Amino acid sequence: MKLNRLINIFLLASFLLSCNSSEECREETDVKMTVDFMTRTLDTKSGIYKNAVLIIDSLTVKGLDSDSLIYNNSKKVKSIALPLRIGNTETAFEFRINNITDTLYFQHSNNDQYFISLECGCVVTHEILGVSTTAHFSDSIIINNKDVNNIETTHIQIFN
Amino acid sequence: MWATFSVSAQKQTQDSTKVSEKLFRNFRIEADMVPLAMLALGNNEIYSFEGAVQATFLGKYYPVFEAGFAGADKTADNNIHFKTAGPFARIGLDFDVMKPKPGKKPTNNHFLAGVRIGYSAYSYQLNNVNVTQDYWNETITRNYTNIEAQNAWFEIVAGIRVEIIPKLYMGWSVRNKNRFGETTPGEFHSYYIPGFGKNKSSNWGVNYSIGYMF
Repeated sequence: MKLNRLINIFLLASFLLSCNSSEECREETDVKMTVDFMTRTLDTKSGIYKNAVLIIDSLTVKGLDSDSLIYNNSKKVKSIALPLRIGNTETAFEFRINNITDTLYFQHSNNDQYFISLECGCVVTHEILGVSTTAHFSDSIIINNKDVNNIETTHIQIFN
Repeated sequence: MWATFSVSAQKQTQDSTKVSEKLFRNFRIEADMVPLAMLALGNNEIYSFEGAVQATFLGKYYPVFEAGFAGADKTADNNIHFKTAGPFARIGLDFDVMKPKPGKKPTNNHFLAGVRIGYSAYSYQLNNVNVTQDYWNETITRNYTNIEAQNAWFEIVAGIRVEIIPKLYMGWSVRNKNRFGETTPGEFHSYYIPGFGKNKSSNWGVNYSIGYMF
């Protein structure tokens, strides 16, 4: 009978359409400031200084006024990712680079309305407004990209 | 426009030996039965009620207006609570792709295929939006109420309508919905769009309609 066939096709269609995908967060929600270590090398041919990646033999990093280490005596490091504060507009880190200690202060704004999805919620993104250092190891710091969000890129370059 | 219609109407009257087609023949009012089935199945996260008016022009054009009210109320695994509700409307045109068999009496059953443009203006809320920074041991919680939104989309629709007893029709439609525009990264967007479904670039939908022909 025609009506029966109609209902069967409908039931099949609804079954196919009811297969829901799972609803866990699959997007990147890690917001970290990426710091690269750099050095300037003299190109003997042209006589021009060029930027080169610097590999740190031993690196320990922790937040200022914090006890837990973010990097603990890590070897052969050229790039690190650091968490900025979401309830404060200044974040400070203590770096120990090959037994030289530097404190770096980052001034930043916090945007708590960066929405990813219902499953992932919001993340707090930052805009780096300024950097200062005690300059024992690092002689200059460049803000390569001031926008810190869930997209991976180099934000800060520390030069030795 | 009207002149063209009447010219083609005359042509059809001359060509056709069976029925002379009036510009406007009749219209059918329909209600979608799917939301009732969803309620019966215990799905109370999402609801969507809709009805339609479809007219017959020149015996082969079926302009249609669909309207409804839909909403969603969902708490995600991360405890964010989302809620929305709003009206929606679609306008479109169907064609009967079933050619009457020669020598047979034409039936009132249709195999319809067509397009729709859909639109919804609605508001939604996101409550208990938590962000935690584990290393610094910082947490912020925000509630966003009454975010205004609007979306438009187009649909490709196919379905059948069968006259089960005189004037009373039953049938189903399957539709592929495609949202206009893209969501900007970082910007708030609704989990659910009334009349469209979950906020993806494309969705499937199904209706099971009961209608009456006037």
